Amino acid sequence: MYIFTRYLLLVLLLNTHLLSAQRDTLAQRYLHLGIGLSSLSARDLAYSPLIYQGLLPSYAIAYTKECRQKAEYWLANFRTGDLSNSFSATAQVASGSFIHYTFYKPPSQYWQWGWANYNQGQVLTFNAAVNYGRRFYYHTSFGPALRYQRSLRPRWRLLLHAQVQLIGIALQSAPVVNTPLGIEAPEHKLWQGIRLFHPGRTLHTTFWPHLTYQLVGGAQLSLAYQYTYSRLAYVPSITSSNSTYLLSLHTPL
Amino acid sequence: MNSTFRFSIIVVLVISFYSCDKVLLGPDPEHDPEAVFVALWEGIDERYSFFAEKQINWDSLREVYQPLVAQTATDQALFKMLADLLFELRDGHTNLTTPFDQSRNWEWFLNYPPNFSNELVEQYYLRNNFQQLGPFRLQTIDSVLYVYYPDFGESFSEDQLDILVREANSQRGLVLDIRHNSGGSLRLAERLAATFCAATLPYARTRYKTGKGRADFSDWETAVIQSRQAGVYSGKLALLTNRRCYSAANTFAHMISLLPQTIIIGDRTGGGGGSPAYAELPNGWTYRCSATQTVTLSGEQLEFGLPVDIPATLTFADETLGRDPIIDRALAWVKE
Repeated sequence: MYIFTRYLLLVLLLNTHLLSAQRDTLAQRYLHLGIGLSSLSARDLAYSPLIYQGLLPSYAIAYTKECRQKAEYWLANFRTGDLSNSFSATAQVASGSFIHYTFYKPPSQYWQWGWANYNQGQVLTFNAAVNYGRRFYYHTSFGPALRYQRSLRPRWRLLLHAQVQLIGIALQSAPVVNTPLGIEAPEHKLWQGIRLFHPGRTLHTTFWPHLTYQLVGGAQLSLAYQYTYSRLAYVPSITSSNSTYLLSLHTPL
Repeated sequence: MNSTFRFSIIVVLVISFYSCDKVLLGPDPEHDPEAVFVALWEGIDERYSFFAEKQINWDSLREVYQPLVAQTATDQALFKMLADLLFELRDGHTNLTTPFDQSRNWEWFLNYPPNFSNELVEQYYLRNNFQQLGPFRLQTIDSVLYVYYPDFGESFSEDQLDILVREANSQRGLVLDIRHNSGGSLRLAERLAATFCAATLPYARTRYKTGKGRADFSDWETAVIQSRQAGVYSGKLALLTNRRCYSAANTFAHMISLLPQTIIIGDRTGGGGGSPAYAELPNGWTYRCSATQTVTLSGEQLEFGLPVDIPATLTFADETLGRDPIIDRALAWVKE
């Protein structure tokens, strides 16, 4: 429990520090509000070998800051709704993520390297299961990220983000009960349920192109497509694949 | 590279990632009878919690039943064969559910006398003027409060428990009848037991399957009843049980057996000490099986039911006479 709490505090402090640091007066800051539609597919082998999928409304809020040498994104998104399998059995899903990107900008380059901290939680409730039907997983992880940006024509700009998460921790429901291993124990040994997030056992990758249009007054409108694939290959494994189309308004701050 | 070309690349990438769902997640598994049998056998193998306690050789049952898969030409035949396989577990918490039928093992009560008649209780004990307090049916009989609670799936409020406590405290004692109560919510069982519990009471230890191995269990965890802060009834309490008291009702009977000034009258409870976990098969059928264990503080499995303090039976002759000797014995004990 202490390890997990300290890790979360570390992530929080790191993000807070990065958010407040380097008050560059030349920085461009934007607030982004987005709404869209997600196509989510998930397979949780603890309950079923079948894929559950559905179209869900998706919401996003983000803050970005671009300086001469660095660009940073803080993005939160959330989606919830119903999924079903090929036999019409249903499940409810609520999924949210908080992502922090940092890109370092070598001058005169379209490509920028950086890193991402990705925090994702998902609750999947299988409606046919009276007991232990609510499955949960969470991971927080770090990995390299890549950005490509280029002006296409006046007012139009293309951006592409991609990242692969490499190291972190994950927490998921135990094979039978809803809660992670150890949490039911009187001493709440949550650490028993924490797994190392690392290549081989886990994979999380995001591909995120978006096209922005500069409006009058500095605001921007963007159409984005975000694809995320996530696999926690512990026993039992859970895999999800999510395609989101997002329309966002970017307001300068 | 002109902008149209770049835009085309993005469009192609978007479309190809959209179709990645099927590639990366893979298709749904085959759901021919053989695949369904294997999925069910393996699912039970990983989840079921009483192989050792019931001395069930699950591997040999696979050898017996798997060759029969080839003879199942219809869904109904496959269901029948799989139901027979699950029947071998002798477990009331194990079922296979399909759109056309649900398998079951009810040996835990069908092979025993019912020792309960709802019509008899209604006609001669509750009569027309009983009080319906949420799911509880209350009647005062010779200065003793008789309460019938049929289903731990039916919830009750704290206000209703307040009334129950007040009514019980105003009488010489309480007869709580949970015969034919086949369980429901363990949380409700704990809340009702807390109403009769003057102090915090550890009552059992539980553990659950944590992995594929048959011995992969969590550590034992102690289950505790917290005394009800809003007030309790701690006078004489007679609990009436029969073989249809199962699952949460079975565990409730064990909780009550640990309290002072209580007695259990009637027939042994049916058991059901493991909470069922649910899962789905490749053809969309679902099943459940016991995936936890609950033992008394001295280590006896609740799965096999609990004995009573005073055995009592209800015969057809008793019913003809309009008497329920189990209730009568309980009323007499309370008034002693």
